[in-house]
Amino acid sequence: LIDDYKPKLVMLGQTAQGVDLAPALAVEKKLPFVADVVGLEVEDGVLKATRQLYSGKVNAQIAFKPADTYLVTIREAAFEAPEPAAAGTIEKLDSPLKEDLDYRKFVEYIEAEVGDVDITQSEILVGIGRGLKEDKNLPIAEELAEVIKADLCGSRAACDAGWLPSDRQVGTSGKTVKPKLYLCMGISGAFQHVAGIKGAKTIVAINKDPNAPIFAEADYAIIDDLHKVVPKLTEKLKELKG
Amino acid sequence: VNAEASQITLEKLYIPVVESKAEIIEGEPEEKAEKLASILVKGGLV
Repeated sequence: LIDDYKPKLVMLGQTAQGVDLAPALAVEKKLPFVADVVGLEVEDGVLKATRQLYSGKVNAQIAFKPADTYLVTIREAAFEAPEPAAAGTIEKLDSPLKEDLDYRKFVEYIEAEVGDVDITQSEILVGIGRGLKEDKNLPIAEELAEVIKADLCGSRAACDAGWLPSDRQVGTSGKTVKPKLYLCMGISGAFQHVAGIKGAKTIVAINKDPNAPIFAEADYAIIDDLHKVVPKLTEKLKELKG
Repeated sequence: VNAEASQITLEKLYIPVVESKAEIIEGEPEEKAEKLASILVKGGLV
């Protein structure tokens, strides 16, 4: 298709298939390539792509050198879907690929194990992240969760640190949750985590970093040290709930 | 590294502005906790 149509820009999803295909395609066709793009613009005739670094805390703007065709993979949900400016047509083409690829084949689906709590069904979730600092601070979150009858879950950092089992992990490499309340503490809000909480009805974020991306998703925000705020919050809730 | 051969150039690094629609709860830690507890209980969230 690239040879025949010589498109200016080829966009693939930053999906398992896109991640698999795009780098090989870039090498094969000698295309300038930027992966996991969250923004695209043309400035003075130069195509520029934006991608996130350090879990969304830093953005990098990358300019392409002039070429006939550019290749990018696009992060899911990074762009709004506006009404199309021009009517396009759909042209159906037969795939030249044969089905008899013998170097890999689909074997089976394996359902993820469900632990003692299925957080995908929880009404209230307390989420913990790296900001909790160490597992000896876990009771801060556990006591709050007990008072508001919440289940505990965590970011990848919290689960990788062993503070919670992996079946409590929320995000693209964990579970997608949809509680009526998601109260998270010490979670910066990397896109991988945020992707798992889009279905939460109300999000409360407690984080001392005012630039934490989690605040873009939150309904209520406390910019402060969770170790100072959460124990007080637990006390106040105990009083109010009797 | 042959920088000339690279097909892309890193133009700039910047800290993105977080656009938040959140209600920011202000005050000392205890005040913040009290205000949030009240919001959660009165809003029927807990």
